[in-house]
Amino acid sequence: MPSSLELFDALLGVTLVGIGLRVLLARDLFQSIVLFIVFGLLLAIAWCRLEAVDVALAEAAIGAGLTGALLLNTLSATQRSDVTRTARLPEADPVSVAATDSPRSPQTGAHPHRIMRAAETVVFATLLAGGLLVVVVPLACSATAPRIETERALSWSGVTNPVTAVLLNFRAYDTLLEVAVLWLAVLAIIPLSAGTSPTTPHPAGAMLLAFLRLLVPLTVLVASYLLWAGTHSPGGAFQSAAMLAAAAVLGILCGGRIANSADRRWRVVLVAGIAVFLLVAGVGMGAGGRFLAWPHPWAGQAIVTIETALTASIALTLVLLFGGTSPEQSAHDADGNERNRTASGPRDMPAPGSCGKGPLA
Amino acid sequence: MNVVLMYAATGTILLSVGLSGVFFCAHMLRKILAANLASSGLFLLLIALARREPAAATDPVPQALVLTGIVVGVSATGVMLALYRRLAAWNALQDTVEERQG
Repeated sequence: MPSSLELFDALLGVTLVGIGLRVLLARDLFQSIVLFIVFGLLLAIAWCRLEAVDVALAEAAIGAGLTGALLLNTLSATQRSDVTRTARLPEADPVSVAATDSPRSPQTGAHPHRIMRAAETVVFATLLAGGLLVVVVPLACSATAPRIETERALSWSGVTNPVTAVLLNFRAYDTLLEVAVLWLAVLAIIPLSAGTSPTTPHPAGAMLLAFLRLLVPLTVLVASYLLWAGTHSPGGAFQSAAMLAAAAVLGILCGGRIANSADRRWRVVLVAGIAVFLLVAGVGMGAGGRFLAWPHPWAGQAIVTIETALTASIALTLVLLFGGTSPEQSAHDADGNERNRTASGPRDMPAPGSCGKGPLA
Repeated sequence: MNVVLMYAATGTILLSVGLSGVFFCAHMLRKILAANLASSGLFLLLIALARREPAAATDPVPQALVLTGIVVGVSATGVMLALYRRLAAWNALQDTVEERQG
C-alpha cells in the first residue's frame, strides 16, 4: 500500500509530464506559455519534495516567473508585428489554425505527411526515453558515495548553508564563469534588440499601481532577507537577484522606463559582480592563498561581500534580458511616442538596491 | 517505488519530450519552450540522483550545478528570444516591402 506522499509524488510526476506534453501540443501559443509557467511552479514543488529548497526558490522566481514574463513579452511583441500579415493571411496565424483536432495529436491533420511527422516524433521520443531509462533506472537504485567531504569542509567554508558553500567557496570558479555567461548574454541582447521596442508598457490603472506600491517594497524586503539568509539557510545571491529583477520587471511592464544600458552608472552596476569577485580573489591571493580560495577566518565576509555585489549585477542583468534601449537608439525609432518620452527626461529605474520604485514615485 | 526513482523517471521522460520538441516542433517559440522543458527534465534527473541512499540529505554539489544551470538557462532563453524578436521584425519588414512592390 503506497503512502500518501508516494501517491503525491506519482501524481506530481504524471502532472509534470502531462503539462510538458500540453506545452508542446497546445494550439494556442499563449496557452503554451501559461502552461509552461504552471509547469515551473509545479516543478518548484518537486524541488521541495527532493529537499532542494535553494533550487525551488530559483525555479519559482527565474524558471517560472522571469522566463514566463520574457516569453509572454516576446509573444505580444511579435504578434503585434504580425498584425499586418495576419490581416492578409488569416491562416498564417498560429493561433487561429483550426482548433478542431483532438488535443492529444494536433499533428493529425488531413495531410498524410503530418501523420508521418507525428509518428516520427512519437517514435523518437519513445526510443530516447526508453534508452535513457535503461541507463537511469539502475543508476537511481544504486547507492551513492557518502558526501562526507562536503560536510567536513563546511566548517571552514565561512557559511553554514552547504549550497552557498559550494557556489561561492568550493566551486567559486563555476559561479564566476556563470556571471560572465550572464554578462555575455546581455552583451548579445543589447545590439539585437536595438531599434525594436522590447516591452509593451501599458499605462497602469489605479488598482495596479496601488498593488505595486504594496508589492515592490515587500519584494525588496524579501530579496534582502534572502541575500542574508543564504549564508545559513536556503537563499542567496541568485534567488535575491531574481526577486529584485521581478520587482523591476513588474515596474517596467506597468510603464516604467527600462534601464538604459548606455548609461555609465548602469555599466558600473553591471560589471560590479565580476569586479568585486575578482578583487576579493586577488586580495585572497595577495594574502598568500590561491586564486578563488578564501582564507578561512575571512571566508564568511568574503562570501557576503561577493554575494551583495553579485545580487546587484545579476538583478540588472536579468532585467536587461528584456532588451534595453538607450535614448540614442529609441530616438531612431519610427515611433514618435518613444522619442517624446525620451525628450521628457530620463525616468530610469533606480539602482537595484531600491528596484522598481521609480515608476511608482 | 521510491522518491528518487519516481523523479528520476519523470526527469528522463521530460528530457526526451523536450528534446523531441526541439527537433520536431515547427514554431520557433515552441522550440524555445521545448528546450526549456528539456533542461528542466535534466535538472530534475540530476537532483533526484543527488538524493540517493545512504546520504541523509540532497547532495549540495548537484544542487549548486542546477542553480547555475537555471540562471544560464534563462540567459540563453533571453538570447534566443531576442534573436526571435529580431527575426519576426525582419519578416514583418519583408512582408511590408513585398506588399508595396506587389
